[in-house]
Amino acid sequence: MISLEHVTFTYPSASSPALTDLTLSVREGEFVLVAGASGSGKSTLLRVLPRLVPHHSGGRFSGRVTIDGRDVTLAAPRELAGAVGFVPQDPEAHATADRVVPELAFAMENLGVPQAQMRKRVEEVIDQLGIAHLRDRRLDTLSGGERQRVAIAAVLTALPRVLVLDEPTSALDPQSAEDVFAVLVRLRDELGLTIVCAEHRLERVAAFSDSVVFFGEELSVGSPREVFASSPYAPPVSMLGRAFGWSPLPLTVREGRSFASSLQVAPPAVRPRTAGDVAMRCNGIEVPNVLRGVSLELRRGEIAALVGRNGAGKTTLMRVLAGIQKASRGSVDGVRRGRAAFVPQRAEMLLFRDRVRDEVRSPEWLARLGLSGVADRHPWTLSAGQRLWTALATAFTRDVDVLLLDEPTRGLDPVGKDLLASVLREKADAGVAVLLVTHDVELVARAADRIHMLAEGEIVASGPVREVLGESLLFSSQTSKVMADPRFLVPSDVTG
Amino acid sequence: MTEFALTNVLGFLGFLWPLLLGVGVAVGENEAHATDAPILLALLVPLLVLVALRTARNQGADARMIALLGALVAMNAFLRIPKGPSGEGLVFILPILVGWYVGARFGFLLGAFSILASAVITGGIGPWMPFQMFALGWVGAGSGLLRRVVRGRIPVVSLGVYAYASSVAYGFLMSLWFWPFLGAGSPFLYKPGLGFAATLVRYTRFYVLTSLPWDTGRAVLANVPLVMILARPLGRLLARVTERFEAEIVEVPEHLPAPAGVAPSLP
Repeated sequence: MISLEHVTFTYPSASSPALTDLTLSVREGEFVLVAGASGSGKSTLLRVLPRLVPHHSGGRFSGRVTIDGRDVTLAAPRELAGAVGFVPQDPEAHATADRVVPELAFAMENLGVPQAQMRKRVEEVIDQLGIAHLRDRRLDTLSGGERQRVAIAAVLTALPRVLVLDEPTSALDPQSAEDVFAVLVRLRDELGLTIVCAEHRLERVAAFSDSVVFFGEELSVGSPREVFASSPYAPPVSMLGRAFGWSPLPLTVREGRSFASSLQVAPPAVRPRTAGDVAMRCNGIEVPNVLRGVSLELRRGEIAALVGRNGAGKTTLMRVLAGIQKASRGSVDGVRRGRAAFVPQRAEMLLFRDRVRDEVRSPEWLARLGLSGVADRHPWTLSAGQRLWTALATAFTRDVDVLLLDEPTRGLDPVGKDLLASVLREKADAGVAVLLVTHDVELVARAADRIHMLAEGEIVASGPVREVLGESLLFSSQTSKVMADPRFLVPSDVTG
Repeated sequence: MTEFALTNVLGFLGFLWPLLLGVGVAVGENEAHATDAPILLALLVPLLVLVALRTARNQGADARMIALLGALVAMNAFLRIPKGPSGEGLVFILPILVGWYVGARFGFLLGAFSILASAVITGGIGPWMPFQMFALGWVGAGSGLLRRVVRGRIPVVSLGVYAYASSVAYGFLMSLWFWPFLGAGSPFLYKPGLGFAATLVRYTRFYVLTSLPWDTGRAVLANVPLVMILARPLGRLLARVTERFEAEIVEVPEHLPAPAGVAPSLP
């Protein structure tokens, strides 16, 4: 269905290629997972397929691309608009209409599909994706998961043979992410659609991927079991399998359970952390229609995670704490002006200067966060992960009492999350109070001391990570599911 | 003849026909260009669209180039709302910089369309509008031509000088559109049948007395400093945008065998 031959691509004014002599082929009806470190070329590879690279990136492209038996090396993106559906990382920025049905019809309107056929296809796609209840809604009233399903539907109405998705669930809570992947699997199984999907949270997709393209030190391609047996990182259950020599390598919780039930390991000793004094406190915060009386304490030396489903009010609470948004009732106090740093969800909004080194003046931080090589590049030309690191670095280099991070994981690979966890721990040990909003259970398991769970504008659970995650069905880590014991949060808790 | 050349000829004729035919005084000030301006506009707008399409296609960037033009025109149209020290100040800056960094035709299109779009916003529609479109278009095009002449050297200084020169040139042209209609009562005003040199002297006197102080004020207080300050940052920004339009594709020969070591295909 897809074949790339000797593809090499260099972005304009980049010194080294983003893709080097890449050759691979994908059969019809395959689900291909594209994984690898931030900035390794995943997004570039995805954009090669609809020919957005090089036509919307510039730069030098060599090689041959064949899709559905047709050589499209020289084709313009518009010639592929019907054949390859592309769902970008941030569908909100690419919506064209304000309501669901016009958004679904937009691609067909541009392809000149007759009106009678348009109506039929809209109905069919609505049923395929199970979004009939959303048809008359405004896009801005949808939750993240609904939004993402509408974005996929909008691409499907053009009847593509290949669907390409760039981290489709990076902004979604675990349940919404599962819904989206369930839809993708059904499209593959029932329509034979070929799907190419980039994803960092391997535990979400490993189970139903037919093959994996992993950008590591060198490119590895193969079935999930082959690739995850030796890749730099793998889903937690596969990491456990590797550590204990389980064969065949487990990819799902169910497969892992059958091995783990015979495993005899003592749960890790929980070392209670003594948190310092209160650095920031909010009392009875109310924001109409969003927050209904939220009280929270952030303590020095403690990393707290704020979790909850899409639309629960996490970002609003964060903005109130950061002083960007006014609460209609309630107070925020404790922290002096200028002593709190806030990194918003779209972290690049913090970046204004022409070079990374002008944003982050500390060479030590540039080196530590892997930005030394791109220090002279413009921040907006970096990969999503590198851009996030740059924005985080601007916060890390400031001397503050409170760090507020909203979804600091979009585009971060697991190695990056480990690095983030260790930087945050270091900050906490230096007396900073950290609050991070995230959907990423594995990051919470690795990094946080305390969890606040927000639902319908209220804190419904609050406590040490191991207690709250252990009691939660949805927000529990893959390791604790495999071990059936909430005391094991990450693979290293088991392997010691 | 290309659409762009035709557009420019149309502009010159639009400005010069009252002088060539010598009929202005009889028509009177209030009726200046009352009949030909709508015709000029009706010819100009389709020509501009053609030039825009051709420019975009020649650069191999079609929709993206048009999108960039549209975004810049929208911004520049709004920049016309805050009046500079002597009116119209801020509307010059983008055409000058974009003409230099993107190209003469693109600068022309930006200037011309900016007037069209901003006239709708500010209510500045009148017989002067097609003339303003030509004049600001030429300001943008001139910047692109200047870059070729000085081969892109000392951009900030060149642009600063050009910002002054173009501000004066714009004023010089925009006084010309009504001058032949003002009546013949003084040595500053138009009188048919004097010959080219004498007419030019009369017009220059008129321009220096009425418009030059304003144009100089506009240039010194707004255009020159702003263009010089913005030249480098905006140049970098435009370079980052336009480099994305320049894709080079090298095809590998068909049936080249896959080298060993690279996974030949997925299982």
